[in-house]
Amino acid sequence: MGLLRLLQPLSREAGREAGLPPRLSREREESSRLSAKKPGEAAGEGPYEAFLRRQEKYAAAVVLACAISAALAKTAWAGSAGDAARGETLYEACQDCHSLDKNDVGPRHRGVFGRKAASLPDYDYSDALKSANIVWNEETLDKWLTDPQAVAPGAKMFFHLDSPQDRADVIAYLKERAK
Amino acid sequence: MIDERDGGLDRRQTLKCMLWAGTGVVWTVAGGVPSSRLIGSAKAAEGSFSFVQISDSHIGFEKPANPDARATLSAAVDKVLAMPDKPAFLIHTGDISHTAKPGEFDDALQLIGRAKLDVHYAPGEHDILDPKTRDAYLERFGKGATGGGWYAFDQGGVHFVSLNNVVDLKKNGLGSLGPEQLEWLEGDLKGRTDSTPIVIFSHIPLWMIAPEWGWGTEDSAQALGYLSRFGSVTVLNGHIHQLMQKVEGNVTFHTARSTAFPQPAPGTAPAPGPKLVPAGELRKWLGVREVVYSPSPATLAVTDTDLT
Repeated sequence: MGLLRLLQPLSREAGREAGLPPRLSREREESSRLSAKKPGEAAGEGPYEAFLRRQEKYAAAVVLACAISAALAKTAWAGSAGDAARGETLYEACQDCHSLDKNDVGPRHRGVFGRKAASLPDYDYSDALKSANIVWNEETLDKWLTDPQAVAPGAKMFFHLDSPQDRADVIAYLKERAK
Repeated sequence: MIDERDGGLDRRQTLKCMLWAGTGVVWTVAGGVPSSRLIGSAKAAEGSFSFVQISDSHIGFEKPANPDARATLSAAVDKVLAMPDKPAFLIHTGDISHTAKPGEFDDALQLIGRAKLDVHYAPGEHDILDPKTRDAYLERFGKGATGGGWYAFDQGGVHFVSLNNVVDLKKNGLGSLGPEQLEWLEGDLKGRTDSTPIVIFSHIPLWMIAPEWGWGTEDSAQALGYLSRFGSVTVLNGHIHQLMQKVEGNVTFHTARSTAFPQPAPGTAPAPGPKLVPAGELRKWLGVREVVYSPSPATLAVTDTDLT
């Protein structure tokens, strides 16, 4: 769950140009602040002060490790960035039940990115999706396309894509070309 | 079927399954060993009859994989009308409509009605989307059927059973029959002689073709258990929009082409769904099926024809 919370903001950032640097900057500041305290405390310190210094070092190491992990996580997400053109081809399979501009077996998709789930007034959604309280973004669409029944048990949709890259491509298509 | 002519096998129920390709090749599978021979035609023998299977007409579908599913269903009906021996009836193995709208069903029935044949339907998951469309489907197609839309009838000594496996979909969209329908099936088959040829038809395949794509029926093994004592069982399905055959003991399984659009073979695409084929080639991927029953010896010969 902690990992999920860590990855979620990074995932959102991956779709934007701004991304990780502000977060890294804050972490670097924190690391510098912790480091800056050390010289003044080194002289004549007792066991408690030594303990505190070790804790500070440990904290600095944790912050650094987190920063590295965050950077790696960003790299991993960037590596599976969606290809909207390929996603358009993959979207042919979705057309068994969906269109961009007409409700079909499933609801129409134009504008779905950023939309609240089950919010089209002229489509008859399942109760499961109505109560799911989801906004469609990269993370929620990725989970949905991985296994819609896991996200909203009882939802109408069973279609799924096993490959993370396939999911990223379809999501990129919906985000970029189905506005 | 029971074939007492095969030396050494005369006390066993030996399957003889004939798959007649459109070009006139008969595949005979006896004791699990296939062989082939050329045939002149599916000429009717004394007491024989034929019927036609059409499937997955998806009336209302109008996307790049087939912008006009009405025209291709109409072409399928033309194929039926052109058959030299008039079929006794027609079965439709589901996804008659694309989105279960009354107008789509109206159009489908009007097009299929040109064949002037009795039609026995099994529902697809595009025909029953929710409780409302389930009730509408049963109101339109369920006359004479048991509560959930399953039913049986007899023709020329063959027992036909139409099943509904699209109402309570399971993981990845797998079909299911449910305890009520299974109980009904067991009762329906009870008392019939082992030599009665059985034809079972439903929308989703009753054998596990690709469970990750929902191409199978979760509780089909129980149904097939009830059928295991019969000498000749033929199972006809739609849903996957392509031809596949399988022989398992005394049961032969056949999936049918769609009249609307093809789907990819399992393992060749990330997911099932409409498959775009080059312009001008669509009708090669679509088709109708004729099944000829001959009573002596009891055989069911399956001929698949594309819509070119």
